Amino acid sequence: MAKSPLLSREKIKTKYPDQWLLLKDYELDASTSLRKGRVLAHSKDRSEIHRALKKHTGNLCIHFTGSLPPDTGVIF
Amino acid sequence: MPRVVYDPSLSSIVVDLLLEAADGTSSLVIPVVLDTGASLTIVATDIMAQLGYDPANPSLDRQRIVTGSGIEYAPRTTVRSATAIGQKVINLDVLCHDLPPESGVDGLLGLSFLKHFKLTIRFRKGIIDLNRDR
Repeated sequence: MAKSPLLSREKIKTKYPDQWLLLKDYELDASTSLRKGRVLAHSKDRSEIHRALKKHTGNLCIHFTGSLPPDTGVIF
Repeated sequence: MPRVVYDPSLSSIVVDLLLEAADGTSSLVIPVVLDTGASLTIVATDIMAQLGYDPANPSLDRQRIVTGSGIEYAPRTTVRSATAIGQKVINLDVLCHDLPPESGVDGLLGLSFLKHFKLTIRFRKGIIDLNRDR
């Protein structure tokens, strides 16, 4: 199977808007922020990405390209 | 100087958290909310299981936590290392607890991590600096 391309964080957001992603071969910057990675799985559903996680080993990264609607507040 | 720039118009501050697996052979990066109101760092149970920390182990201490919706109990364990905003903490106490998918994150970066540093947030500009407090 062909390797998926190494994509920048910006490209990932453009190609997979409002989605959860599982990435490998990721690179982080000096502030531990994702710079680039190869997409292993993508979904609107976080639980699908958690399931995909169980099928892979090694250094992996979960990333979400969406954001909360502006009219939604957050308290934990 | 470790610095993260974020969009200050968003509802919460999300950063990447790099967690080391229990056996030290791999790592996983997850999105977490920076939360100075949380005593402990929280990570989703699926994530902790993937990293080999076995959150279902009945011998783990269960931490009483006060949330916005009441009192809950969650297993607590120690992660070999955690890195966020360019800073690393060895042997970080973590609660295994799930946040709703709508949150867009897999956990919270709480005071158990942040207390090791000097944290500066410039809310209007969307800049976070995290430095060793000498």
